[in-house]
Amino acid sequence: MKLLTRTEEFILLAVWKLQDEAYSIPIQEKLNEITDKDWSLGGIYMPLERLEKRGYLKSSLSDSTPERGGRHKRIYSLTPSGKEALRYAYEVQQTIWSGVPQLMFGLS
Amino acid sequence: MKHRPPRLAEKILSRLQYDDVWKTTLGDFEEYYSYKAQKDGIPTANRWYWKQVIQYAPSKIIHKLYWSIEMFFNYLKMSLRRLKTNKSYSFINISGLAIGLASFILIGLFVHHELSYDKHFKDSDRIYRIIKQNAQSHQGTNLGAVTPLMLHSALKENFPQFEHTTYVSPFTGLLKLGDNSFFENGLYAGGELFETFSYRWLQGNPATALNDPSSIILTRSLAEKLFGNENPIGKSLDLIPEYETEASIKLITGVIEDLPETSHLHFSYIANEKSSAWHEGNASFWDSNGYFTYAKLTETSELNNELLDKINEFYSSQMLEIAYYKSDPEKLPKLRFQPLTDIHLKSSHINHNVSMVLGNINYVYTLSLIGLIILLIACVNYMNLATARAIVRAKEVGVRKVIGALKSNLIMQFTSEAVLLSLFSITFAVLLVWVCLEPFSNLVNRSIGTEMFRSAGFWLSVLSTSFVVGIIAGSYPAFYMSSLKPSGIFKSHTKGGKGNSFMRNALVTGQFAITTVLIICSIVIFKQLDYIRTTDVGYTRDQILTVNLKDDNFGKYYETVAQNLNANPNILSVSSSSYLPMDIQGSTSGVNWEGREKRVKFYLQNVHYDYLEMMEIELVAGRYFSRDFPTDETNAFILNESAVKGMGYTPEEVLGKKLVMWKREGNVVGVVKDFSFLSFRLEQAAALIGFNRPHDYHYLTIKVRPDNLEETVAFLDDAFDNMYKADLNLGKLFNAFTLLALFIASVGLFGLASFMMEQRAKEIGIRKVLGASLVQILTQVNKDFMKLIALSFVIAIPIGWYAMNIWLGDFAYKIELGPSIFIASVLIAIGVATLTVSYKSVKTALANPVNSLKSE
Repeated sequence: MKLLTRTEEFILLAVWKLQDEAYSIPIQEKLNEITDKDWSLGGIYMPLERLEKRGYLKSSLSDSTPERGGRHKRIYSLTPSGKEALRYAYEVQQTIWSGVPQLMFGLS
Repeated sequence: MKHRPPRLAEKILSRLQYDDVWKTTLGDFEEYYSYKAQKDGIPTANRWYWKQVIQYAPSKIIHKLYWSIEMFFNYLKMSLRRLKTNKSYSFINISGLAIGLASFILIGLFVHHELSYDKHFKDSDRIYRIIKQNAQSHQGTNLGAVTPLMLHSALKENFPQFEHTTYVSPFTGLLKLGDNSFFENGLYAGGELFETFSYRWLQGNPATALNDPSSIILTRSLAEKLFGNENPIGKSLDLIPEYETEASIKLITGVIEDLPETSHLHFSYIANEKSSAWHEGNASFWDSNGYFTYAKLTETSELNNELLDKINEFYSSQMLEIAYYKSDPEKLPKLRFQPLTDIHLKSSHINHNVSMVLGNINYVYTLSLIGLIILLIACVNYMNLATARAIVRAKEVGVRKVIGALKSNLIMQFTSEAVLLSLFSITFAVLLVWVCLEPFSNLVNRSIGTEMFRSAGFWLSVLSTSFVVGIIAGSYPAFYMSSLKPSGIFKSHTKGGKGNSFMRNALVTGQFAITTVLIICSIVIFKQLDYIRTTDVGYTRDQILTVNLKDDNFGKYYETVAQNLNANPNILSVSSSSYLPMDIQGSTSGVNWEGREKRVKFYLQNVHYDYLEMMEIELVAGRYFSRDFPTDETNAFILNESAVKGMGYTPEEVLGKKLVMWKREGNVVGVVKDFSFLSFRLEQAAALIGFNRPHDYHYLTIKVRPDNLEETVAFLDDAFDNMYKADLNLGKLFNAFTLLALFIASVGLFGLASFMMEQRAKEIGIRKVLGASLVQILTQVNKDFMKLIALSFVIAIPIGWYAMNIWLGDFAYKIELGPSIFIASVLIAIGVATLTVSYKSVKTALANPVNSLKSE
């Protein structure tokens, strides 16, 4: 299985956490929040599109709302293979970090 | 609070793409914008939004362009394939459109030519010709183009609104240079001619060229004719104006470029009016009218009623010093102003437009209308055939729609197909124009040359015309086809587009109604012109030839010339008159007789012995002029019946009455029948015929034997035709264009009928198998078309009747608009329609039903 990039991983996680509210702007906010830097909208459209194409995400149109000039939102949600990919990413993470002395982080 | 992004930027973004993904993206932008505006303020938000535009627009635009070009090539390919596979259909459409476009271009060229008269002069919109409105009318109108000589200087001196004024008088003169002599049309001019009219000077100084009475200015072509390549400036030549004997020596002081054909005045040289023999006599009289006066307004003035009133006040004050007007101020004429650029087209109601080839604004309108109509008929052909064939293409539409074509894509496709066809047709149309240009120019009596093929404006307007035609022709089919529902198309085998048959029927009916109107008009015009040519005008035109004598002294030599001519065995008789019988110009109300109760306006003709006999103008009472009564030469008049009636007598009573006209007096010796000496547009009028005085020998009239006729001599018949030349040409043009319209309409009908027959081949086969006869089948299939054609007559006849009533209203002598004309038109239209429809239906009905039924 192909490993997710960091950005992809963040985005999938954001979508997972946001649930019904997972469309571009909250995703962007979430990413800003997590990484503490400014993500541009354009910077998340591309990975979103790529993830959808790979089948990790699926999207549907919500009702239109006045604050968006009457336009629809595109709400994303994780597909089973998306979840699988996240899980795999997590496992890899675990594996690769195991055995690294905890001292490195100055936790003790 | 909610903020909205900048309108323009939003508009640009929303135009870039149509799909849902893009729409949600825009929604995101808007939401984010609102959030950003609240957080960082509107300027930052605006900057951000514009940044998005810059970021996204280029790639989206390139994407869009790429696909529209790709699709365009696809449409092009489809259209070309379609043209190739349906050859007869393509031929009908292309030939119809090509003929329609060619007619339209030819007419457009003519209209452009007519409208461009005198516009080549600088400030042409500020130049006016002054015309005189008389209290009485002459030859059917009270307007005249000739004005007093001093008018130009009086206007300039008394009215600062005029920047420059000038006066001219066209004449013909003999130019002698060494042993060569030429009759050339010239212009006597005075005032500020060259300040008023911006001629192109090749040599000489416009400010001083005409200062000396002996100066003369030549046009380039005359200078080349006389002097070849030599420099003509400073050379001299002799000028003998017509009706004069004395030559005067002229010194050439300038050369100007030839005038374009689109000038109302044509001349090949300009002489100073002060050197004219008439100058002395006219220079100080306000009641002596013989000059065209032109005035140019200053840039800031305008010709309003106030100024006109002041000018007329001034004019009246001058005229009232003349006893005739003082005693009868009712008779005072008025001055009016005619824009320079109106002279060519709007002067048919003004007298004395000497030496001008005038146009007629009504012909310009009529022809423009015909051009549009023909083009419209051709467009309708395309619409009909395209929508009728919709059934064949329905599957293509369905597939395209299913694949994802939007309605707008399909509209684009079908419109571009029509535009392509129209562009195709325009190439043939231009070829047709090129071939027909010369005969057409001859017909409209203008020289419309091929030089416009080199002008960009011509090609631009030709291209845009074909573009517009394509869009118009393609619009209805495009909307119709693009609204077909894919579900319907695939579910069942839909019948030939039943839904659009109403529209198609309406179009066919309209087309035939228009064609029938055109047929009615051309029959009426043809008959009326034939009536004019063949009707009894009260004198003969057969075997009579006339010579225009340009010498006022011809009376001296007349007897010698007549004797010599009479010696020729081919000449039956010789006489002379002061006017041609169909165009008597002089008139007066100043004829007195004993017991006169009212004034009568007489048109004056002077003739020699034998003239009335030769012209076969019938005698009612008394006698013709006769050599047996020598006093006839000085003391006799002959009247026509209208004159006698106007005076209030019977022909017998008036004989022997003494008439006094100025210094001329004489007794009435005869009364002749009315003969029409005015245009057919006017009523008969009174004529007074006197005996030729020595200076009245303007026309030599010769009757010849019918054989041995040379074609080079001027026949009276031709002169007669010339009077109606514009009408005759209009008639010919109308006939030609009517034929074209009929051709295009029937070709369209043919295409439609053929297609319907193809669709109904099986039905006809079954009918035949079941025992229907040929006649039954034909009536069955032609019934629908004939209903439409019949309906079109109901529309056409009133319109044709109305239009022709207006046209005929212009003539005092005219044909009746009887039912026979309408019956003939209807028969022609029905005949053509039946032939075109039946050709294919007979073929289908005669075919072996096996062939149409065997395949499913």
